[in-house]
Amino acid sequence: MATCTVPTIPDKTVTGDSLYGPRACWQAFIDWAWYAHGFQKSYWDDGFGYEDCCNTDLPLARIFGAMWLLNYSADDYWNEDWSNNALHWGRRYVRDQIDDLRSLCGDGTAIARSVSGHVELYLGCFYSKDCAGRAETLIHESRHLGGKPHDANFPAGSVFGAGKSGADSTWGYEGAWMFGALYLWWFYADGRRTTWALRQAARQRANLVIDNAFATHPGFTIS
Amino acid sequence: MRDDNEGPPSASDHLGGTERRRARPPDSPAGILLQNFLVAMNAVGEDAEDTYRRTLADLRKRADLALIEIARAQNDCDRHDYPTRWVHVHAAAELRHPAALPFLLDLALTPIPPEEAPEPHSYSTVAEETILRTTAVEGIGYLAKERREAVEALFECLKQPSLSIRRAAVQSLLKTSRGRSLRSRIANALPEDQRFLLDLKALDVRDVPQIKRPQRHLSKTGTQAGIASAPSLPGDEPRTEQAREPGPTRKG
Repeated sequence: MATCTVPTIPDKTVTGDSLYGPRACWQAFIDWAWYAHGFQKSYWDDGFGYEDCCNTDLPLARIFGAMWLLNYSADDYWNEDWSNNALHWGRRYVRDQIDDLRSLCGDGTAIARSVSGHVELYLGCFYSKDCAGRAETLIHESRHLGGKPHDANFPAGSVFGAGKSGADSTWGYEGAWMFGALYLWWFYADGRRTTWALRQAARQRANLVIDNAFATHPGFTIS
Repeated sequence: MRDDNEGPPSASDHLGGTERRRARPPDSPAGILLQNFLVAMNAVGEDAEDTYRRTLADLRKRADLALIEIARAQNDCDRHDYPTRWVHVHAAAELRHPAALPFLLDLALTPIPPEEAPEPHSYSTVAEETILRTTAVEGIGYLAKERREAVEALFECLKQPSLSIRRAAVQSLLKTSRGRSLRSRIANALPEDQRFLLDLKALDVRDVPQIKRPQRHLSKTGTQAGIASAPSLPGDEPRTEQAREPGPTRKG
Protein backbone atom coordinates (compact mmCIF):
# COMPACT_ATOMS: atom_id res chain seq x y z
CA MET A 1 0.00 0.00 0.00
CA ALA A 2 1.36 3.37 -1.03
CA THR A 3 0.66 6.73 0.52
CA CYS A 4 0.39 9.88 -1.56
CA THR A 5 -1.01 13.38 -1.30
CA VAL A 6 -3.39 15.33 -3.47
CA PRO A 7 -1.24 17.47 -5.76
CA THR A 8 -1.92 21.08 -6.64
CA ILE A 9 -5.44 21.14 -8.03
CA PRO A 10 -5.79 23.04 -11.30
CA ASP A 11 -8.55 25.62 -11.62
CA LYS A 12 -11.71 23.53 -11.59
CA THR A 13 -13.51 25.91 -13.89
CA VAL A 14 -10.89 25.27 -16.53
CA THR A 15 -10.81 21.50 -16.07
CA GLY A 16 -14.60 21.24 -16.13
CA ASP A 17 -14.87 19.95 -12.58
CA SER A 18 -16.91 22.96 -11.49
CA LEU A 19 -19.39 22.10 -14.22
CA TYR A 20 -19.42 18.31 -14.25
CA GLY A 21 -18.87 17.71 -10.52
CA PRO A 22 -22.27 19.06 -9.44
CA ARG A 23 -23.96 17.38 -12.40
CA ALA A 24 -22.57 14.00 -11.39
CA CYS A 25 -23.52 14.55 -7.76
CA TRP A 26 -26.87 12.93 -8.41
CA GLN A 27 -27.62 9.76 -6.50
CA ALA A 28 -29.25 7.89 -9.39
CA PHE A 29 -26.19 8.57 -11.55
CA ILE A 30 -23.76 7.70 -8.77
CA ASP A 31 -25.51 4.38 -8.18
CA TRP A 32 -25.53 3.59 -11.88
CA ALA A 33 -21.89 4.59 -12.50
CA TRP A 34 -20.71 2.66 -9.44
CA TYR A 35 -22.37 -0.50 -10.62
CA ALA A 36 -21.77 -0.13 -14.35
CA HIS A 37 -18.00 0.30 -14.08
CA GLY A 38 -17.27 -2.14 -11.28
CA PHE A 39 -16.04 0.27 -8.66
CA GLN A 40 -14.99 -1.40 -5.43
CA LYS A 41 -15.06 0.47 -2.14
CA SER A 42 -11.65 -0.88 -1.13
CA TYR A 43 -10.03 0.94 -4.03
CA TRP A 44 -11.90 4.22 -3.63
CA ASP A 45 -11.86 4.84 0.11
CA ASP A 46 -8.97 5.91 2.28
CA GLY A 47 -8.87 9.42 0.86
CA PHE A 48 -9.83 8.68 -2.73
CA GLY A 49 -13.37 9.91 -2.22
CA TYR A 50 -15.76 7.12 -1.24
CA GLU A 51 -16.66 8.91 1.97
CA ASP A 52 -17.16 12.24 0.16
CA CYS A 53 -18.17 11.28 -3.37
CA CYS A 54 -19.22 14.78 -4.50
CA ASN A 55 -16.02 16.49 -3.40
CA THR A 56 -14.23 17.41 -6.62
CA ASP A 57 -10.95 17.78 -4.78
CA LEU A 58 -10.92 13.98 -4.65
CA PRO A 59 -10.47 11.34 -7.35
CA LEU A 60 -13.89 9.68 -7.16
CA ALA A 61 -15.89 12.82 -7.87
CA ARG A 62 -13.42 13.77 -10.60
CA ILE A 63 -13.95 10.47 -12.41
CA PHE A 64 -17.72 10.64 -11.86
CA GLY A 65 -17.61 14.03 -13.61
CA ALA A 66 -15.72 12.51 -16.54
CA MET A 67 -18.27 9.71 -16.70
CA TRP A 68 -21.10 12.24 -16.81
CA LEU A 69 -19.36 13.89 -19.76
CA LEU A 70 -18.87 10.51 -21.42
CA ASN A 71 -22.53 9.63 -21.05
CA TYR A 72 -24.36 12.84 -21.81
CA SER A 73 -22.34 14.74 -24.43
CA ALA A 74 -24.31 13.55 -27.44
CA ASP A 75 -27.36 15.64 -28.19
CA ASP A 76 -29.53 12.49 -28.22
CA TYR A 77 -27.46 10.75 -25.58
CA TRP A 78 -29.92 7.89 -25.22
CA ASN A 79 -29.17 6.81 -28.78
CA GLU A 80 -26.07 4.68 -28.28
CA ASP A 81 -26.38 2.56 -31.36
CA TRP A 82 -23.06 1.08 -32.46
CA SER A 83 -23.64 2.42 -35.98
CA ASN A 84 -23.65 5.97 -34.68
CA ASN A 85 -20.51 8.01 -33.93
CA ALA A 86 -18.09 7.67 -31.00
CA LEU A 87 -19.88 10.34 -29.04
CA HIS A 88 -22.80 7.94 -28.86
CA TRP A 89 -21.22 4.51 -28.52
CA GLY A 90 -18.16 5.52 -26.49
CA ARG A 91 -20.06 5.35 -23.21
CA ARG A 92 -21.44 1.93 -24.09
CA TYR A 93 -18.03 0.58 -25.04
CA VAL A 94 -16.52 1.78 -21.77
CA ARG A 95 -19.16 0.36 -19.48
CA ASP A 96 -19.21 -2.96 -21.35
CA GLN A 97 -15.43 -3.26 -21.11
CA ILE A 98 -14.61 -1.94 -17.65
CA ASP A 99 -15.97 -4.08 -14.86
CA ASP A 100 -13.25 -3.39 -12.32
CA LEU A 101 -12.06 0.20 -11.97
CA ARG A 102 -9.47 1.06 -9.36
CA SER A 103 -7.74 4.20 -8.13
CA LEU A 104 -4.15 4.15 -6.95
CA CYS A 105 -1.39 6.64 -6.29
CA GLY A 106 0.96 5.79 -9.14
CA ASP A 107 4.24 7.63 -9.39
CA GLY A 108 2.72 11.10 -9.51
CA THR A 109 2.66 11.41 -13.28
CA ALA A 110 1.24 8.05 -14.34
CA ILE A 111 -2.22 8.23 -15.87
CA ALA A 112 -3.67 4.75 -16.16
CA ARG A 113 -3.12 1.21 -17.28
CA SER A 114 -5.17 -1.82 -18.08
CA VAL A 115 -3.87 -5.03 -16.64
CA SER A 116 -5.28 -8.46 -15.90
CA GLY A 117 -8.83 -7.47 -16.78
CA HIS A 118 -9.06 -4.32 -14.72
CA VAL A 119 -8.21 -0.66 -15.16
CA GLU A 120 -6.12 1.31 -12.72
CA LEU A 121 -6.34 5.10 -12.64
CA TYR A 122 -3.57 7.10 -11.04
CA LEU A 123 -3.25 10.61 -9.68
CA GLY A 124 -2.09 11.93 -13.05
CA CYS A 125 -5.46 11.05 -14.53
CA PHE A 126 -7.43 12.86 -11.84
CA TYR A 127 -5.29 15.98 -11.55
CA SER A 128 -3.43 16.59 -14.80
CA LYS A 129 -6.30 15.98 -17.22
CA ASP A 130 -9.51 17.86 -17.74
CA CYS A 131 -12.85 16.06 -17.73
CA ALA A 132 -12.74 15.29 -21.45
CA GLY A 133 -9.20 14.03 -21.12
CA ARG A 134 -10.26 11.64 -18.35
CA ALA A 135 -13.09 10.37 -20.54
CA GLU A 136 -10.54 9.81 -23.29
CA THR A 137 -8.44 7.79 -20.84
CA LEU A 138 -11.42 5.54 -20.10
CA ILE A 139 -11.91 4.98 -23.83
CA HIS A 140 -8.19 4.34 -24.40
CA GLU A 141 -7.93 1.80 -21.59
CA SER A 142 -11.18 0.13 -22.62
CA ARG A 143 -9.69 -0.48 -26.03
CA HIS A 144 -6.76 -2.24 -24.41
CA LEU A 145 -9.18 -4.43 -22.48
CA GLY A 146 -10.76 -5.18 -25.83
CA GLY A 147 -7.56 -6.94 -26.77
CA LYS A 148 -5.63 -4.35 -28.71
CA PRO A 149 -2.11 -3.63 -27.45
CA HIS A 150 0.08 -0.95 -28.98
CA ASP A 151 1.99 -2.41 -31.90
CA ALA A 152 4.63 0.11 -32.93
CA ASN A 153 7.27 2.55 -31.80
CA PHE A 154 6.67 6.27 -31.64
CA PRO A 155 7.85 8.09 -34.77
CA ALA A 156 10.74 10.49 -35.08
CA GLY A 157 9.95 13.75 -33.33
CA SER A 158 7.14 12.27 -31.26
CA VAL A 159 6.45 14.00 -27.96
CA PHE A 160 5.89 10.57 -26.44
CA GLY A 161 9.50 9.55 -27.03
CA ALA A 162 10.76 8.79 -30.53
CA GLY A 163 11.63 5.16 -31.00
CA LYS A 164 10.00 3.99 -27.79
CA SER A 165 7.27 1.39 -27.83
CA GLY A 166 3.68 2.38 -27.15
CA ALA A 167 2.51 3.79 -30.48
CA ASP A 168 -0.11 2.39 -32.81
CA SER A 169 1.12 1.56 -36.29
CA THR A 170 -1.64 3.32 -38.21
CA TRP A 171 -5.04 4.94 -37.80
CA GLY A 172 -6.53 1.89 -39.50
CA TYR A 173 -5.12 -0.37 -36.82
CA GLU A 174 -8.05 0.88 -34.71
CA GLY A 175 -6.07 0.84 -31.53
CA ALA A 176 -6.36 2.73 -28.27
CA TRP A 177 -4.86 5.96 -29.61
CA MET A 178 -7.31 6.01 -32.52
CA PHE A 179 -10.26 5.36 -30.20
CA GLY A 180 -9.19 8.18 -27.88
CA ALA A 181 -8.43 10.68 -30.64
CA LEU A 182 -11.67 9.92 -32.45
CA TYR A 183 -13.67 10.43 -29.29
CA LEU A 184 -11.98 13.77 -28.57
CA TRP A 185 -12.51 14.85 -32.16
CA TRP A 186 -16.21 14.11 -31.99
CA PHE A 187 -16.43 15.84 -28.64
CA TYR A 188 -14.83 18.91 -30.19
CA ALA A 189 -17.04 18.79 -33.27
CA ASP A 190 -20.38 17.92 -31.78
CA GLY A 191 -20.15 17.76 -27.98
CA ARG A 192 -23.17 19.16 -26.17
CA ARG A 193 -23.88 20.34 -22.63
CA THR A 194 -20.27 21.44 -22.41
CA THR A 195 -18.10 24.51 -22.74
CA TRP A 196 -16.23 26.21 -25.52
CA ALA A 197 -12.98 25.83 -23.59
CA LEU A 198 -13.26 22.07 -23.12
CA ARG A 199 -14.13 21.54 -26.77
CA GLN A 200 -11.17 23.62 -27.95
CA ALA A 201 -8.84 21.83 -25.54
CA ALA A 202 -10.11 18.50 -26.87
CA ARG A 203 -9.25 19.60 -30.39
CA GLN A 204 -5.71 20.48 -29.41
CA ARG A 205 -5.21 17.20 -27.59
CA ALA A 206 -6.65 15.12 -30.43
CA ASN A 207 -4.34 16.84 -32.91
CA LEU A 208 -1.40 16.08 -30.64
CA VAL A 209 -2.31 12.39 -30.62
CA ILE A 210 -2.78 12.34 -34.39
CA ASP A 211 0.65 13.92 -34.89
CA ASN A 212 2.61 11.90 -32.38
CA ALA A 213 1.03 8.56 -31.48
CA PHE A 214 1.02 6.75 -34.83
CA ALA A 215 4.12 5.28 -36.43
CA THR A 216 2.69 6.37 -39.77
CA HIS A 217 1.00 9.76 -39.66
CA PRO A 218 -2.70 9.37 -40.55
CA GLY A 219 -2.36 12.10 -43.18
CA PHE A 220 -4.96 14.47 -41.79
CA THR A 221 -5.40 17.06 -39.12
CA ILE A 222 -8.41 18.60 -37.43
CA SER A 223 -9.75 21.56 -39.34
CA MET B 1 -1.54 4.54 -20.46
CA ARG B 2 0.26 1.27 -20.44
CA ASP B 3 -1.06 -2.17 -21.02
CA ASP B 4 1.95 -4.17 -19.98
CA ASN B 5 1.96 -7.06 -17.59
CA GLU B 6 3.68 -5.58 -14.60
CA GLY B 7 2.12 -6.77 -11.36
CA PRO B 8 -0.47 -4.50 -9.79
CA PRO B 9 0.28 -2.70 -6.54
CA SER B 10 -0.32 -4.88 -3.53
CA ALA B 11 -3.39 -3.16 -2.10
CA SER B 12 -5.44 -0.04 -2.26
CA ASP B 13 -3.48 3.10 -1.53
CA HIS B 14 -3.93 5.98 0.87
CA LEU B 15 -4.46 9.51 -0.38
CA GLY B 16 -4.06 12.40 2.00
CA GLY B 17 -3.84 16.16 2.11
CA THR B 18 -5.17 18.72 -0.27
CA GLU B 19 -3.13 21.62 -1.48
CA ARG B 20 -5.25 24.44 -2.80
CA ARG B 21 -3.89 27.18 -4.97
CA ARG B 22 -6.10 30.17 -5.51
CA ALA B 23 -5.73 32.56 -8.37
CA ARG B 24 -5.17 36.19 -7.52
CA PRO B 25 -8.41 38.11 -8.12
CA PRO B 26 -8.20 40.68 -10.90
CA ASP B 27 -7.55 44.22 -9.73
CA SER B 28 -7.57 46.16 -13.01
CA PRO B 29 -10.24 46.84 -15.64
CA ALA B 30 -8.40 44.68 -18.18
CA GLY B 31 -8.00 41.95 -15.58
CA ILE B 32 -11.74 41.97 -15.00
CA LEU B 33 -12.38 41.77 -18.76
CA LEU B 34 -10.02 38.80 -18.96
CA GLN B 35 -11.73 37.14 -16.02
CA ASN B 36 -15.12 37.68 -17.66
CA PHE B 37 -13.84 36.08 -20.86
CA LEU B 38 -12.42 33.07 -19.04
CA VAL B 39 -15.73 32.59 -17.22
CA ALA B 40 -17.58 32.78 -20.55
CA MET B 41 -15.22 30.23 -22.09
CA ASN B 42 -16.28 27.84 -19.38
CA ALA B 43 -20.00 28.58 -19.40
CA VAL B 44 -22.84 26.43 -20.67
CA GLY B 45 -26.41 27.19 -21.61
CA GLU B 46 -28.33 28.67 -24.48
CA ASP B 47 -26.70 32.08 -24.17
CA ALA B 48 -23.17 30.78 -23.56
CA GLU B 49 -21.96 31.37 -27.10
CA ASP B 50 -23.41 34.88 -27.21
CA THR B 51 -21.77 35.65 -23.89
CA TYR B 52 -18.48 34.26 -25.17
CA ARG B 53 -18.61 36.48 -28.26
CA ARG B 54 -19.54 39.54 -26.23
CA THR B 55 -16.81 39.09 -23.62
CA LEU B 56 -14.27 38.40 -26.37
CA ALA B 57 -15.29 41.59 -28.17
CA ASP B 58 -14.89 43.50 -24.90
CA LEU B 59 -11.47 41.99 -24.36
CA ARG B 60 -10.35 42.81 -27.89
CA LYS B 61 -11.16 46.47 -27.29
CA ARG B 62 -8.46 46.50 -24.60
CA ALA B 63 -6.18 43.95 -26.25
CA ASP B 64 -2.89 45.59 -25.34
CA LEU B 65 -3.80 45.78 -21.67
CA ALA B 66 -5.35 42.33 -21.77
CA LEU B 67 -2.02 40.97 -22.95
CA ILE B 68 -0.34 42.37 -19.87
CA GLU B 69 -2.94 40.64 -17.71
CA ILE B 70 -2.51 37.38 -19.60
CA ALA B 71 1.25 37.53 -19.16
CA ARG B 72 0.83 38.25 -15.48
CA ALA B 73 -1.62 35.39 -15.03
CA GLN B 74 0.80 33.05 -16.80
CA ASN B 75 3.56 34.19 -14.51
CA ASP B 76 1.44 33.51 -11.42
CA CYS B 77 0.42 30.10 -12.64
CA ASP B 78 2.00 26.88 -11.42
CA ARG B 79 4.24 25.67 -14.23
CA HIS B 80 2.58 22.28 -14.19
CA ASP B 81 -0.97 23.65 -14.18
CA TYR B 82 -1.30 23.07 -17.89
CA PRO B 83 -5.10 23.45 -18.15
CA THR B 84 -4.93 26.96 -16.70
CA ARG B 85 -1.87 27.92 -18.72
CA TRP B 86 -3.66 26.72 -21.84
CA VAL B 87 -6.72 28.94 -21.36
CA HIS B 88 -4.44 31.96 -21.06
CA VAL B 89 -2.66 31.09 -24.31
CA HIS B 90 -6.00 30.46 -25.98
CA ALA B 91 -7.21 33.87 -24.81
CA ALA B 92 -4.12 35.55 -26.27
CA ALA B 93 -4.65 33.73 -29.55
CA GLU B 94 -8.31 34.69 -29.70
CA LEU B 95 -7.48 38.37 -29.33
CA ARG B 96 -6.34 38.29 -32.97
CA HIS B 97 -4.53 41.53 -32.27
CA PRO B 98 -1.01 42.52 -33.31
CA ALA B 99 -0.19 43.21 -29.68
CA ALA B 100 -0.43 39.47 -29.08
CA LEU B 101 2.23 38.55 -31.61
CA PRO B 102 5.30 38.99 -29.38
CA PHE B 103 3.69 36.98 -26.58
CA LEU B 104 2.60 34.17 -28.88
CA LEU B 105 5.87 34.03 -30.79
CA ASP B 106 7.93 34.07 -27.63
CA LEU B 107 6.02 31.08 -26.34
CA ALA B 108 6.17 29.21 -29.64
CA LEU B 109 9.93 29.68 -29.88
CA THR B 110 10.72 28.93 -26.24
CA PRO B 111 12.48 25.57 -26.21
CA ILE B 112 10.36 22.84 -24.70
CA PRO B 113 11.84 21.82 -21.35
CA PRO B 114 13.16 18.27 -21.11
CA GLU B 115 10.65 15.55 -20.37
CA GLU B 116 9.93 15.28 -16.66
CA ALA B 117 7.71 12.22 -16.70
CA PRO B 118 9.48 8.88 -16.29
CA GLU B 119 7.01 7.20 -18.61
CA PRO B 120 5.96 9.74 -21.25
CA HIS B 121 3.43 7.34 -22.72
CA SER B 122 1.44 7.81 -19.51
CA TYR B 123 1.85 11.52 -19.11
CA SER B 124 4.23 13.79 -20.91
CA THR B 125 5.26 17.27 -19.90
CA VAL B 126 6.62 17.63 -23.42
CA ALA B 127 3.15 16.86 -24.79
CA GLU B 128 1.54 19.45 -22.52
CA GLU B 129 4.14 22.07 -23.40
CA THR B 130 3.61 21.26 -27.07
CA ILE B 131 -0.14 21.88 -26.83
CA LEU B 132 0.56 25.35 -25.42
CA ARG B 133 2.81 26.08 -28.37
CA THR B 134 0.51 24.74 -31.10
CA THR B 135 -2.24 26.93 -29.67
CA ALA B 136 0.13 29.90 -29.83
CA VAL B 137 1.09 29.08 -33.42
CA GLU B 138 -2.57 29.00 -34.42
CA GLY B 139 -2.93 32.42 -32.82
CA ILE B 140 -0.06 33.67 -34.98
CA GLY B 141 -1.83 32.07 -37.91
CA TYR B 142 -4.89 34.26 -37.41
CA LEU B 143 -2.64 37.32 -37.62
CA ALA B 144 -0.76 35.98 -40.64
CA LYS B 145 -3.87 36.36 -42.78
CA GLU B 146 -3.30 40.11 -42.70
CA ARG B 147 0.20 40.78 -41.41
CA ARG B 148 3.47 39.97 -43.09
CA GLU B 149 5.45 39.91 -39.85
CA ALA B 150 3.18 37.15 -38.63
CA VAL B 151 3.93 35.16 -41.78
CA GLU B 152 7.62 35.51 -41.05
CA ALA B 153 6.95 34.48 -37.45
CA LEU B 154 5.39 31.27 -38.72
CA PHE B 155 8.52 30.56 -40.71
CA GLU B 156 10.47 31.00 -37.49
CA CYS B 157 8.19 28.37 -35.95
CA LEU B 158 9.13 25.95 -38.72
CA LYS B 159 12.65 25.93 -37.29
CA GLN B 160 11.40 24.31 -34.09
CA PRO B 161 12.20 20.60 -33.84
CA SER B 162 8.66 19.65 -32.76
CA LEU B 163 6.59 17.93 -35.43
CA SER B 164 3.37 19.33 -33.98
CA ILE B 165 4.64 22.91 -33.92
CA ARG B 166 5.74 22.53 -37.51
CA ARG B 167 2.41 21.00 -38.46
CA ALA B 168 0.51 23.91 -36.89
CA ALA B 169 2.78 26.41 -38.63
CA VAL B 170 2.43 24.73 -42.03
CA GLN B 171 -1.34 24.62 -41.71
CA SER B 172 -1.45 28.28 -40.72
CA LEU B 173 0.79 29.33 -43.61
CA LEU B 174 -1.27 27.41 -46.12
CA LYS B 175 -4.42 29.15 -44.88
CA THR B 176 -3.08 32.59 -45.72
CA SER B 177 -4.00 34.20 -49.02
CA ARG B 178 -0.44 33.56 -50.24
CA GLY B 179 -0.48 29.97 -49.05
CA ARG B 180 -0.10 28.30 -52.44
CA SER B 181 2.78 30.51 -53.47
CA LEU B 182 4.55 29.79 -50.19
CA ARG B 183 4.63 26.03 -50.66
CA SER B 184 8.15 25.79 -52.05
CA ARG B 185 9.53 28.08 -49.35
CA ILE B 186 7.77 25.99 -46.70
CA ALA B 187 9.16 22.80 -48.22
CA ASN B 188 12.67 24.21 -48.13
CA ALA B 189 12.23 25.10 -44.47
CA LEU B 190 11.20 21.57 -43.49
CA PRO B 191 13.40 18.53 -43.06
CA GLU B 192 12.92 16.24 -46.02
CA ASP B 193 11.21 13.53 -43.99
CA GLN B 194 8.62 16.02 -42.73
CA ARG B 195 7.57 17.56 -46.01
CA PHE B 196 4.51 15.35 -45.88
CA LEU B 197 3.13 18.04 -43.57
CA LEU B 198 2.40 20.07 -46.69
CA ASP B 199 0.01 17.42 -47.87
CA LEU B 200 -1.97 16.84 -44.68
CA LYS B 201 -5.68 17.32 -45.16
CA ALA B 202 -7.54 19.48 -42.67
CA LEU B 203 -10.73 17.48 -42.24
CA ASP B 204 -14.01 17.39 -40.45
CA VAL B 205 -14.41 14.37 -38.19
CA ARG B 206 -17.25 13.14 -40.39
CA ASP B 207 -14.77 12.69 -43.24
CA VAL B 208 -12.17 10.50 -41.53
CA PRO B 209 -12.30 6.71 -41.24
CA GLN B 210 -14.59 5.74 -38.38
CA ILE B 211 -14.77 2.48 -36.47
CA LYS B 212 -17.16 0.13 -38.16
CA ARG B 213 -19.11 -2.04 -35.76
CA PRO B 214 -17.20 -1.10 -32.61
CA GLN B 215 -18.85 -3.96 -30.79
CA ARG B 216 -16.57 -6.38 -32.62
CA HIS B 217 -13.76 -4.87 -30.56
CA LEU B 218 -15.29 -5.94 -27.26
CA SER B 219 -13.64 -8.62 -25.18
CA LYS B 220 -15.60 -11.80 -24.52
CA THR B 221 -16.50 -10.42 -21.10
CA GLY B 222 -17.51 -7.14 -22.68
CA THR B 223 -19.90 -8.77 -25.13
CA GLN B 224 -21.66 -10.42 -22.23
CA ALA B 225 -21.79 -7.38 -19.97
CA GLY B 226 -25.29 -6.17 -20.79
CA ILE B 227 -25.12 -3.20 -18.45
CA ALA B 228 -28.04 -0.79 -18.72
CA SER B 229 -27.26 2.69 -20.03
CA ALA B 230 -26.99 5.72 -17.76
CA PRO B 231 -30.21 7.08 -16.29
CA SER B 232 -32.03 9.69 -18.28
CA LEU B 233 -31.30 13.24 -17.25
CA PRO B 234 -33.78 14.82 -14.86
CA GLY B 235 -36.63 16.20 -16.93
CA ASP B 236 -36.07 13.77 -19.81
CA GLU B 237 -38.26 10.80 -20.49
CA PRO B 238 -37.02 7.79 -18.43
CA ARG B 239 -35.52 5.25 -20.83
CA THR B 240 -33.44 2.90 -18.70
CA GLU B 241 -33.75 0.64 -15.72
CA GLN B 242 -32.27 1.46 -12.32
CA ALA B 243 -28.83 0.34 -11.21
CA ARG B 244 -28.89 -2.87 -9.22
CA GLU B 245 -26.43 -1.91 -6.49
CA PRO B 246 -26.17 1.35 -4.58
CA GLY B 247 -22.96 3.35 -4.75
CA PRO B 248 -21.55 5.77 -2.21
CA THR B 249 -24.04 8.22 -0.80
CA ARG B 250 -23.87 11.90 -1.58
CA LYS B 251 -23.99 14.22 1.36
CA GLY B 252 -26.80 16.69 1.89
